[in-house]
Order: sequence, then C-alpha cells, then structure tokens
Amino acid sequence: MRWDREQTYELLKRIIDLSEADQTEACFMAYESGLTRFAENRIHQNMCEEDAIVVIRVAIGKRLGSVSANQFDEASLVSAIQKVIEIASLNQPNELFDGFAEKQPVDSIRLPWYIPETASAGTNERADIASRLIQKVENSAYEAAGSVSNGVYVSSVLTSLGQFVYQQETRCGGLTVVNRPGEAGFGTGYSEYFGRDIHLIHPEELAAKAVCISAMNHDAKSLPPGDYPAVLTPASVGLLIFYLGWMALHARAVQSGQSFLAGHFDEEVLDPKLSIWDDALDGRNYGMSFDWEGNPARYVDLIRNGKAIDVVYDTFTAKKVGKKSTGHALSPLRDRYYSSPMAEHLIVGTGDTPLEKMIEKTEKGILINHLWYVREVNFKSASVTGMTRDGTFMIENGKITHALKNLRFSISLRDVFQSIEMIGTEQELTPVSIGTVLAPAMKLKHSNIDGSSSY
Amino acid sequence: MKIEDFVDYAMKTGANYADARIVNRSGEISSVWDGNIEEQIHNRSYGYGIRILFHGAWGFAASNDFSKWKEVVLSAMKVAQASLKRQKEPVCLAPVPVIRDHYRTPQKIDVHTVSLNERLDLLLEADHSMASVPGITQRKSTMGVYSTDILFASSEGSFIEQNLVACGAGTVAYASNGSDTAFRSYPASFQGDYSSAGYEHILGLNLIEGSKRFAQQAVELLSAKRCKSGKKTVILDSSMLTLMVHESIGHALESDRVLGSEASYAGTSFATPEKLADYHCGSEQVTITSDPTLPGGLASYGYDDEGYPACRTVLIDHGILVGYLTGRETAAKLKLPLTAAMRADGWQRFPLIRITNVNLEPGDSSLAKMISEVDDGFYMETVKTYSIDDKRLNFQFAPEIAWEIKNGKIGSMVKNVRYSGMTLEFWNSCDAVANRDEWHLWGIPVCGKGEPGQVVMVGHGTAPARFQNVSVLGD
Repeated sequence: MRWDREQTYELLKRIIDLSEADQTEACFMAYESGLTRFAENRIHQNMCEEDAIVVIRVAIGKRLGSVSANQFDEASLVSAIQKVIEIASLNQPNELFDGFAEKQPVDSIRLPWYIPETASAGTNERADIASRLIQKVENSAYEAAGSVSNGVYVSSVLTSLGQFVYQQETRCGGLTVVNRPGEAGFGTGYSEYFGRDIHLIHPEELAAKAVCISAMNHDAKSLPPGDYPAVLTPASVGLLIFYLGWMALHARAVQSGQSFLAGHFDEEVLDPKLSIWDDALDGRNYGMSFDWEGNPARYVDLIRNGKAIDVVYDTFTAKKVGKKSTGHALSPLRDRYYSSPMAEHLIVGTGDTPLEKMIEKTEKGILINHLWYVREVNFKSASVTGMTRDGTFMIENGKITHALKNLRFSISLRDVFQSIEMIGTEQELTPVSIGTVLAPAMKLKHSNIDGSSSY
Repeated sequence: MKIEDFVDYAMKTGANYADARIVNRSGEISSVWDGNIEEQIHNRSYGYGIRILFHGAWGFAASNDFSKWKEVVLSAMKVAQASLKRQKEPVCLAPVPVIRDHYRTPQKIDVHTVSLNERLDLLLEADHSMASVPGITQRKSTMGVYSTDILFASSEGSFIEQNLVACGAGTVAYASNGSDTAFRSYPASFQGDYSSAGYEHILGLNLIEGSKRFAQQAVELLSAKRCKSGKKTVILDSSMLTLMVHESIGHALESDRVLGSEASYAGTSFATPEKLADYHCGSEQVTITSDPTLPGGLASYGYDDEGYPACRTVLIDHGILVGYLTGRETAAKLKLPLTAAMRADGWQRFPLIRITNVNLEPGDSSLAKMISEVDDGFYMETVKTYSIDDKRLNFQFAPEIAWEIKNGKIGSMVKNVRYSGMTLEFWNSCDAVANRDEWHLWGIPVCGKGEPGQVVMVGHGTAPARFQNVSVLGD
C-alpha cells in the first residue's frame, strides 16, 4: 500500500499549508481492495480497485465548506483549496462550529488491526478460497453463491491546529448462500465470516455450515401470524442492534425527541440482562481509534444492565448540549441516508447460554438464521419490519422439528429487548450499513410474526 | 495517453474483448439542519476502470492513478485469469452496434451557472418556512447537483462521450409531542425529487410553499387517528407507487438477479425465465416500461456502460411479463433484446444490470374519480418505510401519511398505517391507474445493489393507482 504514515502526513500537510482559511482540516481515506464473487458454482465477477480521497474542510470564522478530491497533483490541490474557500466564503456561519480538533492523544486498538498476509493476498488467493468453498459445496450436490473480499484501508486526519491521526488496517470476509438445484422443496442456507485475518476465512467450514442449514431447510411450512419466542443467531441480533443504534442511541435522535431514550436516562428502559456499548478500540471489530473530526473515539456505555446511560456525539451535537464529542463523527463520504453522529462499533455483552442450549430450552419457538431487508417503521418505539431468509426453523420441545417459510416480522426493538430470555456466550462480528456490530445469539420472549412468504 | 490505448493494450495482452471507462464525477451537496448549514461539500472523483473478457471469464481493475494505467490493465487480465479457475460455460456477449457519439443532458438553466448563494438561500427559505410551523422540532433541507463525464471505448470500436447532469432537492419536517413523533418529506422521500435536468427542475419543486404545507401535516399527524387492521381498497399517490414499482417490479426484472448472479446478496426473483410471455404479473391496467430516453428521467442517458444506446422496452404488457432489464451477457443467455440497463457506480465498479427509468404507464382514470368510487378505503402518500423479501414477493410498505376514504370522499387523517401483501396478488388487484395528466417522473438518487455496494440514480414514472383487498395494518 502506497500511503504509509509519512506519505499521508506529507500530502495532508501540503494541503494545510496551501490553505489560507482560518482553520483547515484534511480527512484522508485510501484503499486497495479486491472482491471475487461467485454464483451457480462459478466465479462471475472478479475485480480489484484502488482509490485515495481527501476531504478538505475549511473554516472562515464560523463559515464552513468542504471539498473532496482524488487527484493530488499541485494543480488539482490548488483548485480544490480555491473551491473550498469559495464555498466557505459564500456560506452562512454555523453557530455550532467550535473549531477543528486540537492536538490530543488517541489510544491504540487493543488487538492487531493490520495483518500483512491479508494485505498481500491477491486475486489468485481470493479465487483459491472461492474455489475451495465451491468445491466443498459442489461435492455435496449443492450450488454456491457468495463472495470473498480483502483489502487495505488507510484513514487519517490532520488539522491546522496540530492534530494528526493515522490508521492503516486490513479487512476481509467470506460469505455464501447455498441451495440444492434441481430438487424441489429445498431452501437456502447461509454462513459468513468477517474479520481482519484472511487465514481465518475457512472456506470448507463456511461451505459445510451453509450446506447443513440448506439440508435442514426443506419442505418448509407456513407459520400462522402471531407472537412467538425467537432464538436469533449473532448475525441476526447484530442487524437488529444496528437499527436500535440508528433509531435511538445517538445524540441527534435524542435531541429531536425521536429516540425512546429521550427523557429516560438513568432509567431501566431495556431488559436488565442487556448491556450495549460502543468501543472502537476493542479490536475484534472494524474500529478506528479516532473519528472523522480527528477526535479520539471514546468508549461509551449506552445501555448498562438495561439502564439508559448515554449516547454518542460529534462536535456539533455535543455543542448543542454543552458536552464534549465522544468521537463518533461519521465519514464525510458516508451514505447520506445516515446522519452524523452514529455508534459505529456497537458491542452487545454476552450471557451464559450457548445457542444450542437456547434451542434445547425452548418448548415452542422459532430459530432465525439470517435477516433481510430490515427497515424502520416508527422511530419513537424503535419499530422495524423485515424478513427472515436462508434458514428459519420451528423449535418444539427443545428440538428443531421442521423448516419454516421465510417470515415477515414487525417488532418494536424497545419492546423485544425489554424481554430477553437468554443471551449467548460467543460474540460474532456483523458488518452493517454503518460500521459493525459484535453480538451474541439471543432468545427473545416475543417476536411478532405477520405471516410467511411463499418459499 | 488516450482511452483507446487502454483497450488496445488490453487486447495486446491477450484479451478477447475489452472496454474502458474514464469517469469524472463531481457533486455538490448542501444540507441545512435547523437553520444551520451543516454541510456544504463539493465531491470530485476521477479515475478509470478496465473490463476484460479472457477465454470467456471476466476481469476488472480500476484506479485513480493514471500514471500506472498499464499496470491496471495487466491487473484486470490477472483477475480474468484467476476467474478461469472456476468457470462453466464461457461468457458470450450479445452484439452491439459500433457507436461513435456524444450525448449531453439537456438543461434549460445550466446548474453550474446558479450561484451557491442562490441555492443556499432557497434551502434556508425552505427551512424557515418549516420553522414557522408551531410544533416542528427538527428540520432538514438538502440539495444535490451532480455532473458525470464518461468516456467509453471498446475493443469493438465504440467511442462514446457523455456529459450527464442531475439535480434535485427535498426537505423533512419532524414533529414531536414527547410521546409520539411524525415527519413529512417534501416532495418525496429519499432526499426529495431529482431529475436529469438543469436548475429549472429545482425551481419547479416549489420547495418553500410545499415544505411548509408538509410541516403542517407532520404536526397534524401527531394527533391523527390510528386505524384498525383489515382488507381495504387502497389508493397510492404517485410518489408512493415509485417504490412499489422499484422494489416489486424493477428489481425483480433485473436479468442478472433472475439468473441467480445476485443470489448471495440482493437475492433472486420470482420472475424466472420460463415464465416469460405467459405470466400474469399484474392486471390489465398494469403496463411497465423501461425507458432511459425519457426527458428529465434521473436514469436518462444516451448510452449505458456497455455502450448500448438508450431505448424504450416494454417489460410487462397489460399484466403479462414480456421482458427483462438486460445487459450483453444476460441478453445473449436469455436470447432477449438489450435494454441499455448496464450501469456502474463510477469508474471503480463493474457494470451491473440496474433499474433505469422503470415506469407504470398511465391509465385512463384520475385520482378524483378513483376516490369517488371507493366506499371504504385509504389514500396514502409518500414512502415512509419499505421491506421486501429476497425473491421480491412478500412486501410491507408504509406511507408517511394516509387518509380514510369513506363513501367516495376523503375523510380523517390517519397515522402509522402500513400495508403488506404478495407482489403478484397486489399488482393483479390493480383496477385503476390515473391518466397522463397525473403521471409524474420521479427521480430517486439512491438505489443500492451488488458487492461491493453500488449506488445509482433511478427514475420511476407513475400516476396514482388503486388496489383492491389490500392488507392494511394499524399499530
């Protein structure tokens, strides 16, 4: 990867020096990544890409402007600086602006975040992993779709007030959806792994797990609408917790009154078995030790034993209520559906019941392997709707008795997380739209099922 | 170095086919929250992507660094060679004409001639209009102006230059009374309404008056009545229908999804190939077209990212499935015409089959007539939420606002309504579509698909339509 600490600093310093604004901030992100996709047991899309982007933000008094550019020759940078100063000059003052980040230390992530073998793995290594996975699936007379990805990512911020932060990290992942072609009545199975070390993608294990789920997922029956206890895999819990975070656990949601936490801090709002926090430094997630304003990403207790403790802030939302940023400003190049700040490194505390025991201890309920197309319905009650996919099963008398057709559910996250029966012992990482969630399996006492799909 | 050099070099390295795109995309996003201009950003992304077909296997590589273009071409070849490790039948491409052309988005008022001040003033005025409504607790106004210059060259001799422009704006007004919240998005969800047009589009949105009117509705929603669940007649306004068309028809008719290429992420489709030409996807009232030639459509362009000319295609003809959105690979496989639907999110992405301007063609009714014919039902406006299964069958949608229809007249406002159903039953229950006078071509700037994720702009032309026996859910 070209962009080491020194090269990155040199580029950002050049930008800061070119700017004649009162204050300047340069956010930098670069990546080299590859992704190999497969379907119907063949590789059908395979690509590698690289890019490097700088987002320059300037302040003239309290007037702000931003530009992004991915060409760094002198003319391009001068043009970008001229543009951003023009934008700031024309802008209205932002009274919530309190200056860019000042020089301050940031702590390190607690586990290795750069694995050289992940960084150096190329298209052949990815194709080999995909081929091994496909072979294993094909040997079982199933068909695989999925992807294998790896990449090196650089993130850095330099401000004219002297704050410089830099992180180079690796990420990788593998996932598969398998089905049994040519044989009626079989549904799909799914498995995934995401982390930083490409050696930890075990294609045969991913294949075996997905095939096993698909093999069980046959002759699926409809489930009448109603309220059912539900055992959720870590990936399913992770997605629901992401929605909880987006709808309730950040300052903007509280300040607008949309979060159910508003006015209820230090009160027990969720099940006392549940604790949720944001910790970018944990190391098991895709954390960054700073946010996109260059501030240290601080540990934030959000829910502790069911009690609402705090939410995450960036400088603007913190200024509104006289607090300090918790270091949760989102990337300026994020999906605009989401507004800063957000908790990007959510972690759910573990319990003492493994997933298998949850099934054993369930008299009647459903097992949900994977969720799909979850969307918000009502912010105040943190209500969402969504579908199950790739393996949903009926549990009766402690055993999986048959497959269920994919289910439509409509739940209030506030309500279902107020009555948790059991929490799993192992957390797994789930990448979500913004950041990641590290969550264990969970048994919920309630899940409102609206009905079934036709498969 | 010219774009043709990329392609020539790829062919010299042994490619059987190659195409290259150089894309220079810029965008200006303005965002006002509660009277503060929280974001004013100008983005620029410039780079190139090379796509190679080698012994029937694809390879793709992309970079922002033009000094190493030969290295990138070689990377694309290596990727294609790696793809060969797991192939079945070699990829075949449907033939395309050799094109040498230039296309430019028509604009009445060039967006780049409108000062930032003028644009921000409009957003701030819209913000003030919402702030003047008692009970509004938070306001957001956004505007986006985008330019995309694309150079395309292929080893078959095509050379196409396109200068595409798009712009749009929208507002959201939030109301809260402590125990409940509500919001209204003007003129539509997903950042508003966007168009491949000049600034005349934004001026035509009537942002200031419209935002105030919707802010008043957000406050009224707090005290609106709730409804009971049951089977009802439902009339959807045209903005609500955009997402129905998008999710349950547009995505379902992407031929890569139909053939299983997106199974691991976006899913597959109920509309499998054997159903073509003999499958009732909807009632007689339902005709769906793909048309990237429509003036002002957010997915209007001269050529897709395989260099195929934009064209109108009927996908569902009076309820019968007759076509799919295709690209060169899937058109050859399915023996179907090309529809100019292969598009990439910028220079760094592999083109995929994407929704274009996919439209519900106008019918012969009108909103007023449809309402007058309903004894007991609901009229729903503006997408609030949406969810559909991975075969595009089981869906649940919710409007931001709804009204009861009683005895042919609009009645009380209703909040927190949802409706759900199965795609085929829903479209087969359509018994009226309003006429062209009420048809509007909406622009949605954010449609996601693929791995790595690709976001493209799409258009949907719709008029209000009526559906029978819909499962309406209260809360």
